[in-house]
Amino acid sequence: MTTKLIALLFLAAVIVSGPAYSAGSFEPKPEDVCSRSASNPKLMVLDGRKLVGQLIEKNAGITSIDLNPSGAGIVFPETSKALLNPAAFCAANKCSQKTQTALGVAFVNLIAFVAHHAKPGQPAPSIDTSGLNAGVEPLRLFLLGLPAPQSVCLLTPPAAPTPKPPPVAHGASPPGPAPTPTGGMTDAGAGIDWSTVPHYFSLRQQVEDLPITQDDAKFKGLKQASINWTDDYIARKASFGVDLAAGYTIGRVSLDEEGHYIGQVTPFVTYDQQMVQAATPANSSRAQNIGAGLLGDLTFPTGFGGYQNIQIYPKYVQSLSNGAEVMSGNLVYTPEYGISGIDNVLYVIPETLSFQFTPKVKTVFHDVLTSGTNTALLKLGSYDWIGPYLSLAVYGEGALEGFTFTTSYETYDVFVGTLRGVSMFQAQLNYDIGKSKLVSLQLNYQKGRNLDTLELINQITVGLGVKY
Amino acid sequence: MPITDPAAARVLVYNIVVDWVGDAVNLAPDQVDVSRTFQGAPPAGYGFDEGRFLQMCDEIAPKLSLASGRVLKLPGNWRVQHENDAINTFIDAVALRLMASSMTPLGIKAHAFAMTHPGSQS
Repeated sequence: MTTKLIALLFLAAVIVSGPAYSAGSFEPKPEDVCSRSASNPKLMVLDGRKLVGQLIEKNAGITSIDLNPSGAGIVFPETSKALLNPAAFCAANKCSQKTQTALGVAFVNLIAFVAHHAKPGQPAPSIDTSGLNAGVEPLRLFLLGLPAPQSVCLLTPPAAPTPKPPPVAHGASPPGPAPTPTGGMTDAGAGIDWSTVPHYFSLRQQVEDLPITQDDAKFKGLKQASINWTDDYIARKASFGVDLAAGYTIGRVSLDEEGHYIGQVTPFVTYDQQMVQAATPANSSRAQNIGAGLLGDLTFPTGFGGYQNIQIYPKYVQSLSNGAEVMSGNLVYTPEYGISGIDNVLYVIPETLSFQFTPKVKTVFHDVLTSGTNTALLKLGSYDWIGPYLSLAVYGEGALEGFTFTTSYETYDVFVGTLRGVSMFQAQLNYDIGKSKLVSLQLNYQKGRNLDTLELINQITVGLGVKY
Repeated sequence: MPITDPAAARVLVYNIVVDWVGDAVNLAPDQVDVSRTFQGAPPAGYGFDEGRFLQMCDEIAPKLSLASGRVLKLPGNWRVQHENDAINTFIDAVALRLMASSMTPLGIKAHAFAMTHPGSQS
């Protein structure tokens, strides 16, 4: 009976004093936890001694005698050690189980406080704890009074046009404007906080490469924008070429708080020029094209379970040399309904053989608005088509390591254009034998039409590579 | 018992995530390689498209909330930041987020229960 009464009283106390047991309830005023920086007196920074004192004594209600019943007195940074490892601290100092639990909850509240305030550029009053939000180690160093990233405090609204203070004053490695946000515990997902949305300028040779960031593994293999000049004194021929695409990518970004609408967009411009100056006018040529467009995609719910993705890529190109104008592009719909074997690989032999289908529906349009003096455009003309695309990829691992088979078929119904239909079948088999890939087999088969030039293709390629 | 220990949080998240991924790709949970990424073809990843990753986030969050006694939300831009993660990195990030989440009313009751009932010592 007594135990039940104690339990009820404790439960009531827990519920009434909820904030002590709920993370995120620690919200001190900046003026209570900030001090002038020792290295830069003009800067107010988060003070670990004040922060721990406010957290343990004011917020959690844990006193020095709670931490050490002998009355020896526990002060900073020993109080931080109690926060960081309540079990070990309480075992050494003989504090109660209740104190140990309260310390654990206080630490959770501290983590929530750091995560909640890890937002650079917030108006005063604010504390930017971004530097402490990259895992546990920076926070541990800070709490123990050791060298750690500083957290800048803004106590009063800055008078315009006061320059914006640095969001986080890192001692060792100040981060530059990152093209993509790093991982870690942040609250960046609440709505659209545009300050956290990746946005960056890029310059490449091909439009499709523009959204790829510099820290992406694929960046190394991308073609660079180029400008070149060649003068052949023997052939008496000079050429000048420019080939570039410039874009500004925004995203990926979630358009809603729950993370059900995620997209990216890259408006871009292109410019390419090829000028050949030979001894005779017949051998000379000049091509100069300028273009603009949009490259983007959006993933969003279907409404009946699962997701779907739509990619768009409209592009307008005008020739400055012959006056031709072309509007082209494509729209790709990809169902992502949450089916194993389609939206992720499915193993048929565990850790050895897996496969994945990828279905899409594609619409391609290529409208010649003005052919100008370009005879090739007149011959090709406008064309619009729509149709399905299906690919199958089979992957080998373990005993079948190095084996990959991919095949795809796409067929389009042409509703504008001279052709009735366009289709393309491709199959590719790669087998790199052995971990050191001493022997490599390749088989490639293509039948249909090249989807860019519409030329007929029916070819098989077999390759054997050996190195020893 | 609500999760109050980071290691316990990681164990819980590991079990839930690995079970979900294993079920999706037809592997036993102990065969799931957590050093792989969700996206990307084998052997580097498990070929998740973005929709599949979002679906996983949608489904594991309530499971983790119930099991941990904490209100776990995996919001939009957090998902964007972690969709290219290796599974083990993702597990750590979810565990950190779980530890920073507030307790559910059920979690508070469970905590109070555990603190006041010593349990049988059989």
